Amino acid sequence: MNVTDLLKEQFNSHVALREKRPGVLQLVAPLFHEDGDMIDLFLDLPSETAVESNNKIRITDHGLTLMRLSYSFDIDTPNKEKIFHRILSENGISENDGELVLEVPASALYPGLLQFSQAVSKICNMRYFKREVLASLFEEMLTSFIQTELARFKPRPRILPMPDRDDLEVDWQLTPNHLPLYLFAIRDASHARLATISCLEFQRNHLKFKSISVHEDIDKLSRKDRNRLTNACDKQFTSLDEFRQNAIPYLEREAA
Amino acid sequence: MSRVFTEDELNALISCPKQIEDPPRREMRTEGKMKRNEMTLRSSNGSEAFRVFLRQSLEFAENFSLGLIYVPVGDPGSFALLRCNGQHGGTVSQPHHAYYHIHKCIADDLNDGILESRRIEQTTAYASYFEALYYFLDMINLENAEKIFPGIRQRLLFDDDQTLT
Repeated sequence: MNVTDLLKEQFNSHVALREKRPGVLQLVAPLFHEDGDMIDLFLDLPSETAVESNNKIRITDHGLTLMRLSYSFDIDTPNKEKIFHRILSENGISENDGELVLEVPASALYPGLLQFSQAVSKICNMRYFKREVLASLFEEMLTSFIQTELARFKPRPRILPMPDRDDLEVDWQLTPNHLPLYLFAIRDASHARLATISCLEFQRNHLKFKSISVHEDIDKLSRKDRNRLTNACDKQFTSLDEFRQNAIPYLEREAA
Repeated sequence: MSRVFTEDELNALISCPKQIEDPPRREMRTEGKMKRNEMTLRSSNGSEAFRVFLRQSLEFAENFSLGLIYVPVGDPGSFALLRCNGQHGGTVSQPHHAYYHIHKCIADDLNDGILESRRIEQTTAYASYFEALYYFLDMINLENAEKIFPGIRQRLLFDDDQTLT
């Protein structure tokens, strides 16, 4: 048996239909989510009767894809909506009140099912856009921006302005003029507190410097943490996007 | 995930006494083709944080999932410790049978960076959403569950409505 025959045999013997409800057939096929659950695929058909090749068949998930996604991720912002609808349109899928649907002619049922299951997987993978996952990318994205766009300001990572205080490390030093500019990447409250303590300690020891904080999301901080950092630090950018947009004009003003 | 887990630690996280931090809505709310509810919990000793989701398909009452998510303090990776699932399609171990089942995560998986709960156990402990909810609340050791889900025992015995709470 050659590989083609092997695949034909294995695909054929691993596909079955089960009546979920009258008029709704559930596809049993070796298409699985990462946790081992089968992807929910249904054919809305009166029964498993003969169909003409030009008959339309409705492939649907009956809303179970978005239910699964909602365990860990909600499509609740314009950006997430945009990505969701882009996945749908790029895969030819329509959505009706949370139900994903693809209508195909009977002759295209097989590629239609594969196309639909791929779209389901992509939508389920939107869970990787969770804030907590993206937050771990914050420092990497900041580093990339500093190294590529701010190279002329001589960036140096992980600086110890007070060599005998290795607990007061600065994430980046930039040098737009004669004064070092210490940059703190603020991902959460503990980073905000460390930046506050560092700035106050540098001031107390009469170091000559300026400081900026780049927040992953300033709204995540409590009012007290925000106030303490605002009082200690010279300049803050409320988000990475804000920093990307305004860092260069700010540093150019500092350099002038 | 910087922390290393053992199976015993995972079981302890599932069964440690927990208290409600943010309660669920009184009734599940409808969104698209599902009913949903959420609550956040904290271990009774205050050291661990959790999130609970409750989901049920509007069209197929036997399709539901009740999950306990662990939210490690100071670590960006949260993951589902436990999911009590309904009778949806098959699974990778038994593709041709729909059965009530429980997902748990595996310590070695987590330590390898795999956050999916890939251990699947078939169960006969429940056969409806409401029985599953009762079982789930017992498994996760939620203190005062009766206050949050009033009449849960009575409903379990006498109520046919599988979509409550």
